[in-house]
Amino acid sequence: MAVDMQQKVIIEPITRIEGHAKITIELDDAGKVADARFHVTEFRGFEKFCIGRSFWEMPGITARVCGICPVSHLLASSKAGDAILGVRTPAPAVTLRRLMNYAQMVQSHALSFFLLSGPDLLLGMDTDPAERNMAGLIKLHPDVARAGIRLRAFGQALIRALGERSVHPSWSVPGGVRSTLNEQDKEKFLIQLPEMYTTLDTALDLMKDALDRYAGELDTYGNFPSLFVGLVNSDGGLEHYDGHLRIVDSKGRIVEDGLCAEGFLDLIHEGEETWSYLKFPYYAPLGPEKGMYRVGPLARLNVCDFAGTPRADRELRQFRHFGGRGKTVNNSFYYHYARLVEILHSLERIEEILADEILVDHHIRSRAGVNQNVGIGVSEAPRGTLFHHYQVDDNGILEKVNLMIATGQNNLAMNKTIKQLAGRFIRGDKLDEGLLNRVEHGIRVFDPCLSCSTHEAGRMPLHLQLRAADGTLVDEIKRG
Amino acid sequence: MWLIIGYGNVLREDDGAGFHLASRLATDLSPRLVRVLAVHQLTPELALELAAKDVERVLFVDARRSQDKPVVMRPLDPPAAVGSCGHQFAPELLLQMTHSLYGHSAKGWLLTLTARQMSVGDTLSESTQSAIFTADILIKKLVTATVVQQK
Repeated sequence: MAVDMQQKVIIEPITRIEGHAKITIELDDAGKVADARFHVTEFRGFEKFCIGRSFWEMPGITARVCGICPVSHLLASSKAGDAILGVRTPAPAVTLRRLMNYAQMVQSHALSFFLLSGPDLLLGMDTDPAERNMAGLIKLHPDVARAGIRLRAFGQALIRALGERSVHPSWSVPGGVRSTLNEQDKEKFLIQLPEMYTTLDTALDLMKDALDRYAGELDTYGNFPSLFVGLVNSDGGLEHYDGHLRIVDSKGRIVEDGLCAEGFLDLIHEGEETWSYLKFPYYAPLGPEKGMYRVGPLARLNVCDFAGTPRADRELRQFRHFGGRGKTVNNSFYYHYARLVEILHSLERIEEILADEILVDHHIRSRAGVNQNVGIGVSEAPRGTLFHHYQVDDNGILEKVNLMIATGQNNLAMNKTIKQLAGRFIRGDKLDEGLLNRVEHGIRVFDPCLSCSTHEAGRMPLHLQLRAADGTLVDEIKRG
Repeated sequence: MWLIIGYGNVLREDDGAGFHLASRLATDLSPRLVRVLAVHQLTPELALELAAKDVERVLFVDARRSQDKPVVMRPLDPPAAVGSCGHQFAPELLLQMTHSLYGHSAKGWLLTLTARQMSVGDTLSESTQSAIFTADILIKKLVTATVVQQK
C-alpha cells in the first residue's frame, strides 16, 4: 500500500483479468471517502502492434483480445473491413453475423449471471467467502448451476457451429463470412430453445428475489445520473449489430440520435489519467463529469424504445418500472436484470433467424479490394458498444488503429460506483469482508472485460488497508 | 470410454501443445473408442462432456514449462470442494464440478508436455514436437489397452 499525504485504502491486486488492476480508496482528514480509483495497470498494445498489418488479418487478430467476447471484436473488425472494401455485405452474411452475435450474448451473459455473479446474488454479500463461491452455489442451487451451464453451452455450441470454434473464431471476414449454417445444426438448436426459455424464466424469478433481498443496499451499487449510449435500429428498437447510435440522459430524454459511428466518435473525448492504462471517454459537449456515460445491457435497454420480440418486450416493461415513468433505470445493479432481458431477446432472435429462409442462400461474401482508406466498425458487445476504427494505405496496410471498448467507456461510471460503495460501507476504523465483497461486486455489475478476476467471487486476492492521517495502520484485511 | 481434452493457445508456441496433440488424436483414433476435444481453454460447460454416461476416464493434456521429462502423466485428485471459476479453470475443478452437479465420477489424469517457449508464434520447439510424438504413441497404447482389457 502506498500512503501519501492523504489516507488511502488500497485493494490490490485484482487478478485474473485481461490485465491487472487495483483499487485505491482515498480518505479525507475526517475519515470519509474522498475519492476512488480503479487502476488498470497493464498495457496490451493491440492498437500499436497491429500497425503495419493488413486489415484482412484484423478480425482474426483482434478476436484474440478476449477469450470471453472474441465474437465482438471479430464482428466490429469485419465491419470496419466492410467499410474499407466499400461494398454491400450480402444479406445472408449479415444475418449469420447477427446469429453469432446473439449466441455470444447468450453465452457471455449466462456466464456472468449464473456462474460469476450468481454466488453474490443468491448466497448474499455477507456470506463467508469460503461459501460464497461456486461450491456454495452448487450446494444450495444445483439446478440453477446446471441450467446456467446448459444455457452457456447452447451459446457456445452455436458459435462453434458457425465458426468452427467457440473461443477466438476467425469466421467473419471483411465482406462477409466464411461459411453458413447447415440444416442439421439448425434443427439441433431449435429443439433446445424451449429448455433455454424455461431457464430464463427461472433466472428472472431469482433476479427478482435478489432485488427484494438487496432492497436495503441496492442504491449504493452505482445509482447516479449519467448518459447512456447504445445502438438502436431504424425504428428505435433494441439493436446489437447495426443501426445507429443514440444517447439519452438519465431522465430518458434523447440527447443525440441517428449518429453514425464517425459522428459519435467526433462527440467523444477519450480522457486519460496517469494512474491507469484504461481511458476515460466522455461526451465532450458536456465535459467529463456531466458527459460521463454508460454502455452495455443497462444502457441498451435505456436507449431503445422497445425490444422488438414479445417475451423480451414483456420483461422490458417490468424492467422500466424501476426507473420511474419515462425515466431511465440509473442503478448499475440492474445490469444483472438487463442481461437476462437481453438473453431472452437473443433467444427469440435466434429462433427467428434459424427459421429464416435467407440462410439457404449461399452468397455470403462480397469480394473487393481497398476502396476506402478509413473504416469504422461498430457493434454491441455483451459489455457495451465496441468500435474498431482503422486507417489503411492503398494496399490495405494499417496506418492507424483505435479500439474503443465497452469497459473503457464504463470506466468513469465504475470509478463512481466504487466511490459510492466505499462511502456507504467504510465507517469507523474497521474493515470487513462485507466491504471487500461489495466493492468486488460493484465492479462485477459492469462485467468488465478486464474481468476474469473481478469475477473471482470470494477468492479475488485483495489487500485493503485503512490508515490514519499520520500513516498509522488502523485496520487491515487480506484475502488470497 | 476415454474422453481426451487437449488445451492451449496455438498462437503461443509450445503452449498450444495440448491442442495440437488432441487434434492429431482426433484424426487417428476411432470415435467409437475415444472422444477427443481440442480446445483453447477449459470452460465450465465442458462439465457436460465429462458427465456423459459412457465417459469413464478423462485425460487432460496441457503444456508445462520447467518440466524436465518430455511427458508426465499423473492421476488427478479432485479437490474436496469446488472453488471459484474465472478465466482459469483447473482440470481438478472440472472433475469435482461434474461430480457435484451430475453425480458422475470419471477417473481423471493429467498429461503434461514439456514446453520451452511460450512467446507469440505458431511454431513448436523441437523438444515439444518430440514430446507430442512420444505422448501420441503412449496415449494410443493406453486407449487400445483399455479397450482390450474391457473385452
